[in-house]
Amino acid sequence: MLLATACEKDLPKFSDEECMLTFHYGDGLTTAGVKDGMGSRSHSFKLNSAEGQMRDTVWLRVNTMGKLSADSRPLALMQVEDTTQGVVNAVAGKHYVAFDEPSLATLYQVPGDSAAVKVPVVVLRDASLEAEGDVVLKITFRDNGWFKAGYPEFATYTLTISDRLTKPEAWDKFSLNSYFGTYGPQKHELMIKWTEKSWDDEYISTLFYEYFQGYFAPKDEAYIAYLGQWFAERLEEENEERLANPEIGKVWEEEDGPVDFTPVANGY
Amino acid sequence: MACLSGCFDDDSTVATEANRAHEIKVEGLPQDTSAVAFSSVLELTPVVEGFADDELLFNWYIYGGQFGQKGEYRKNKIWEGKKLAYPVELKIGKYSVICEATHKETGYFGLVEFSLDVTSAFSNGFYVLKETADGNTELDFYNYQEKITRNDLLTENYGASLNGKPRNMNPVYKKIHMDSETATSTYATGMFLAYGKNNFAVYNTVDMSLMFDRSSLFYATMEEDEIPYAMATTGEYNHYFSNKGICYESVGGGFFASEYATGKLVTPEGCGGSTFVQAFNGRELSYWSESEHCLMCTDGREIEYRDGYAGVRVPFEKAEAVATGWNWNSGDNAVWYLFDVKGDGRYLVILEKETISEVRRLDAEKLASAVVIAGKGLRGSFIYSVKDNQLYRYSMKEKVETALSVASLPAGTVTYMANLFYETAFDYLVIGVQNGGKYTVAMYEMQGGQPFGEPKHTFEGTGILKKLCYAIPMSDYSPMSPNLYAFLYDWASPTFPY
Repeated sequence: MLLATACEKDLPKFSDEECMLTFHYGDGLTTAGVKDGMGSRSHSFKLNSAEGQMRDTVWLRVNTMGKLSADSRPLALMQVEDTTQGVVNAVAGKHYVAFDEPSLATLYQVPGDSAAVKVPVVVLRDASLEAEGDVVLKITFRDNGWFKAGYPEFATYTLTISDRLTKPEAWDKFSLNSYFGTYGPQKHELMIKWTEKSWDDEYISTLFYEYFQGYFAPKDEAYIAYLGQWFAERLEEENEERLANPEIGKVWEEEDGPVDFTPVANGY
Repeated sequence: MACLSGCFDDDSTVATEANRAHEIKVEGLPQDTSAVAFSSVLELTPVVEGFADDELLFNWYIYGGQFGQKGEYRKNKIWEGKKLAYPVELKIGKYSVICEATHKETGYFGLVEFSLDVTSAFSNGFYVLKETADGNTELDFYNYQEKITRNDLLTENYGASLNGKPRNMNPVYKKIHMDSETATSTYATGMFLAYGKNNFAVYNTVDMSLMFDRSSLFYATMEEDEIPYAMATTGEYNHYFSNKGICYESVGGGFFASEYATGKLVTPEGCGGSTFVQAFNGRELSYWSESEHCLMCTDGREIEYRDGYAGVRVPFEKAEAVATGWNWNSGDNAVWYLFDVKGDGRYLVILEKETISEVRRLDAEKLASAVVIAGKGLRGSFIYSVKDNQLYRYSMKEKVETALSVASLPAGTVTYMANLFYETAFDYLVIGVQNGGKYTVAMYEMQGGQPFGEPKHTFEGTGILKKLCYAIPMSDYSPMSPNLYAFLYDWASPTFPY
């Protein structure tokens, strides 16, 4: 004998009016899954922009928390100082267009009935980037009465602005150290020059595939290994020429030593 | 309180005495069949008791292989009518055939399903490497299931044999390559041939098309002085050996395979190899480095004497490799190499657990001076040799040599011997006999470590017999990691010998 009854219970409706914003670090990521290096990227004018291009746009994905609205709602970004030792913080108007620049106002909006949006960070190619080095722009959300910053784990985004070759995210994602040795900007420049390929995130991604959740392998292992051999041989040839040239007299070098394509075991 | 109960009226109008739909049982068909693509016609006639032929409609369907999965089998009708006479014009692979008998009046049907293993004319059998009368390289093929020999495959397919003497031949399982019709990555069993001074070719055993040669195997240009020696499969990798070193790739199919790989290899590196390649630990292979005069593992290590070894040592710097083999006995794996040292003698080197565990100077044994040598791969620690056309068996455990008799050995000079096996399909001692410009091969089953009874297979050909290799198609996970599990589990025997 089975006794089946049904009852209804009134549940409280969601009534919290507070709305918040977070940066999108990755699909399906929880706060517990956040690791160092997430929520950051770099934009290198040398790598990512055309020659002579003096400003560029980096788009960041932002998610809302709380109720939707049928109407669009403004959001506000603001810079926070990065206090890491050695870091040079970006300057608004010099390295990036200030977030309160009126011409960008229409782009800092969450559209109606949306829980996500892409917002622009307009970066500027100041001469100091090449001469003095990279700057860091650490961004969070300013409480503008419409939105405030959400979970602290997802509340900041760090953008490194550069005018030299910087390590593409894909380099670590696909463990290129295992194939081409430790990253160096001079090495990177040589790879681009010798192959006439961009060796940016987009190009590197074409060489790999995801064979299991979060695990990547070269589409053709032998081809990547061959590239490593080829780079090493080309380096050896050019180094011989450079040493023999009295006007140069030295091998290709990074800041910390000679360029070396020797693969690093386990990518570290 | 609610009470739940149900009741059903049995109102069977489906299977009645009149239509007997429940009795449509399709019988009289085999569980497993095989066919050679583009050569066979599959002829079968089912039996359905209790029904006249004109009461039933027969349809035959197929799935698997180049077709979809079972759920869509009705899309692939191959025949209508009770007597199947289906010309098998399919890609090689494993298929399932369904015979469906439908009662015309009621529409109810019974069906039975059986497997169809489709091979090609060259994909499952023994390749014979031989030297032609004019000193060139040619192949014969023996289909042991059909007991049919095809001679001079290279001339048949390419108009001529390969220029130069044969040096070596190895099967290369699940060799990745690009399908020339679809320009997509695929894999098949290849046959590696080394010939002439430094030439080689890998042929696709499906259709004898050329998979790779000097111009195409590497991404880089093969150096003029590179001498390819061998290729071999173990676990999930295919290895390549030349005088320049070694390299490897993942096999096709399986967990580690990439659908994007082209099958080209990276330039070989490390210690140069030789034709003497053998098992080691299931994941890696051992090999004799002709250039460095040492035993090497494909992971780059030199194979060393075990800790505490105090026995005879081989002067490797003066040694020449003679033969190699692998004995497996319920999980015990012993890999051995034979070396000749000029002015000194012959040494038997035994590898166990990845080190040189023992070395023996062979003096009194016939094995010490034999030219024709073979090892026993499965369930027996023996090395066979032929001296003055007499077969001998050397027991590695007891260090005793025994003369063996062989029934109906073809007349002539024994010039070749090998123990060829493939999983549990067969285990033969293969003996090659030369009579001038003709050879005869006799394959004997083994019992108690010696040839048993009359030869199971005998076939002939012209030319000087050099080597036999067995080829069979492999699919993604079957077998899983060939030859790996023999080193991991007592119950797992080797898949094939090297």
